Amino acid sequence: MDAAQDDRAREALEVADRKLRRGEISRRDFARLTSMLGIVAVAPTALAACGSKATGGGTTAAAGGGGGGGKDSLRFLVGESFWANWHPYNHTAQIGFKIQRNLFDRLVEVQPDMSLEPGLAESWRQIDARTWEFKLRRGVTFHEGQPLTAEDVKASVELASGFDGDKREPLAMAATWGVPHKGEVVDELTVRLIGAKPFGPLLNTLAITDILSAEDIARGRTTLERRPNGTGAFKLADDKPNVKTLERFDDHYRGPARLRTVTWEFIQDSQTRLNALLAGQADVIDRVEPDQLSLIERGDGAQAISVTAPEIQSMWFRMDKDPFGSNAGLRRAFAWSLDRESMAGLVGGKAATADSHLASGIEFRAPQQPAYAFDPERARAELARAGGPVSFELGSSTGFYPKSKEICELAQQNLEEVGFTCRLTLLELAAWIDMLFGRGRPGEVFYGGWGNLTKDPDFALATLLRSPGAWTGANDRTSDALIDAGKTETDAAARERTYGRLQEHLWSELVPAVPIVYSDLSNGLRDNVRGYEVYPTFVQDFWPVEISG
Amino acid sequence: MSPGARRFLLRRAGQAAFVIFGVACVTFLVLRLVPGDPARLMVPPGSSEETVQQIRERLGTDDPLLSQFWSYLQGLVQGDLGQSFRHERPVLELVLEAIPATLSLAVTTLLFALLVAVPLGIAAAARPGGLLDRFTLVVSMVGQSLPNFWIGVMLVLLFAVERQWFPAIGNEGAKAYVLPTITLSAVLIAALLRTIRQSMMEALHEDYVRTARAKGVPQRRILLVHALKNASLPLVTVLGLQIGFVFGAAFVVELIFNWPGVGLLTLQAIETRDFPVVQGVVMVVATVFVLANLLVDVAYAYLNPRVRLGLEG
Repeated sequence: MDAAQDDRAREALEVADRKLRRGEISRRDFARLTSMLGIVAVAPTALAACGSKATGGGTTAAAGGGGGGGKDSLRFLVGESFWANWHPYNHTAQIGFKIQRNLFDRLVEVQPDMSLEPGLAESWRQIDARTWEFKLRRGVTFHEGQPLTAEDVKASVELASGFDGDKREPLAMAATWGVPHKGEVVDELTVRLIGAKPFGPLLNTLAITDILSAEDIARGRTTLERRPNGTGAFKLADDKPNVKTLERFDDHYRGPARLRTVTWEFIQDSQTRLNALLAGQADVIDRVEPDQLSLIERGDGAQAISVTAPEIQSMWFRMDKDPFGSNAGLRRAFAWSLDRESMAGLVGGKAATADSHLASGIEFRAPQQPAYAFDPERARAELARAGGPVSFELGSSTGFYPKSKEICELAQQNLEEVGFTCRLTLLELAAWIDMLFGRGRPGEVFYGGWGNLTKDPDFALATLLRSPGAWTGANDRTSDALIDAGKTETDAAARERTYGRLQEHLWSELVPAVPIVYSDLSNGLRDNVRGYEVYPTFVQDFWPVEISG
Repeated sequence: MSPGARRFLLRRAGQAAFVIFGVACVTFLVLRLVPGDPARLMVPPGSSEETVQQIRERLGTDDPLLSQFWSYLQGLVQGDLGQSFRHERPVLELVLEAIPATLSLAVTTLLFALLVAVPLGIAAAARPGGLLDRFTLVVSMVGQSLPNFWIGVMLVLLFAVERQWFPAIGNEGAKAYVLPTITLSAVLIAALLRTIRQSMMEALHEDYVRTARAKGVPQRRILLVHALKNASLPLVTVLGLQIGFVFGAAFVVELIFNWPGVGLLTLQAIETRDFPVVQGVVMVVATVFVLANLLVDVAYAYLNPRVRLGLEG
């Protein structure tokens, strides 16, 4: 920004500030205005664009436009590098789960509304608290020609759940399962899964457990890391560091996909992805930032689909460190200090103010009370009761979670207004991860997010809050017991009660974190792309997608 | 080659080797000082310290710093830039895959900048204060004032997004070179234009030019033969120095245009703390820069008889 622009921005900021003080605009509007000043650099695009189009939800319909890849090939630009290898059970990369969705199949499949539908399993039934039986589809084959049998499911679940895994170097998926499961082959197409304990999240966990070939599993970890051999609608045709080309698998059990190829290409910069979409060089792009939605809406030949993602951005307390770890009163004073509504406004799009420790769309989520609406007076009173002003360090990454810098700056302003002394440390992602988990674990509060790949509450809560090993360093008997109960109950009504009690406990008693916002998840696509849906669980299914015209 | 010239070349080669060694040391140390553990970035967040330690052992990042540095230097002298942490492939292979894209962009940029700057600079110097001269001054001022990332973004918005005349991303086909080349050459054209204009104006006031004019040598020959050869000395110097700039700016331009060169490779490697890749790219780029400057020195000696005679004497 040049000096003249700086001056204009400062003037605008002063006007907004005066209006806020006079009560002519809300804090949310103020936050939006100040946020806009920061994105003045993209204004020329907005000005250059003409017309207007509404942002939709659900599937795509409109026609026209160019498209980047030809009629039966689609170019998909993604914002996360392909950093994981092909072992489906040993990473937590969102991009890994996204691409695997198309290369592999699962016993049950998550739908765009987060419900579960039969996948490789045609039907299933619960035999007892620990045992489930699955009937598999006939005629399913792996990309390399092997027929799918119950042996494959047995080997896959035993490996993924940690029953038959490497105890010295356990796979990441084993932690997600938490309860090891043994497989029992009843016949060629019937398999029973028997948990070491009853396991409430079984079906949701199976929905992210890709089924591998027993032969590949027997060959060992290196085979699984080097190439994906699934039963999915697409097979890997070309594997370059930043570009993965998927080719239609004609023998897929749902029938051949409409697209011949789908090219996944990593482009780090969101503006570059957007430019490619608007220029007609890409058919679909992910991770559209809320600031960019209006540019797509006003552009020609492209549209955006937005949903509220089951991802929470929160201020996490280090529960094993003072001043917050030992003082719930301070944590509550912190919660009352934050203008979370304005923070959600800063993110924009379909982002929403968080009202539970369970993210939007997660099973058994219930809005909690008190709402922790921005109330500096109450925050001051709580702070005084909890032992008065304290100073601490708040650490956040920049450039990863949308508007994290702006949110943390607003939080710092809010907290200092109440009487906290907050030192804000902004780091790029790698350094932030080091701060979070590295030696010494500096900082007392950190801002970060957790995205849920399944709708089961256990997925997030067990990792973040169950001691020992909780991200937050929490060690709370009540929440541990409730997390364990939720994990091992299989009756839906009982689980609802347990998670209801757990949410109340976390929200009003323990307060291990202050949930700020449920994230916006937006994708952009050309108008001639049909059948594309945004899954809140961050995956894409390209099987039903086609390019018209 | 005269003994003086040989001595000069040997001295410059020695200096070049020292610079490259210095770059290797600084790059290695700076990367280890930056926060961010490559091993921790390769495992799921929240993994146990034992798991992270196993990765460190595999990568060799838990070895003492001196031992890591020694292995790195040993590899370097054998032409081995190491193994990428992320891609699990030799770094040299990755750099060699990426460098043609960057080099082709850099060469196109240099040629385009010379093609624009030299004729304009000569024409401006031929008629100082004329319309063309004023125009070149404005062009060079604008070129130097605007950051190339801004120029790049504006060009994409206007000619790729709005008009769709050129691609917004990628390096496939001749059209793909147009916007990145203009972006990258804007500052270079400005620098070269000012240099050539200034040195041509100085040369045109020299006695030998006056003599040539008195002898009736045509203006065209005076400009292109008599004055240009002397005026090109500072141009060669500036060009040599600007090669480093072109490589540096290419990193930004590659990001804007998703140009699959060493810039993109490096940015991703920095994010994931893939130390061997960052070190490898820096070493290759530094070597190219140092060699280019060595070449400039040689060219300088060739173009300037005083330098050449000085070396020989």
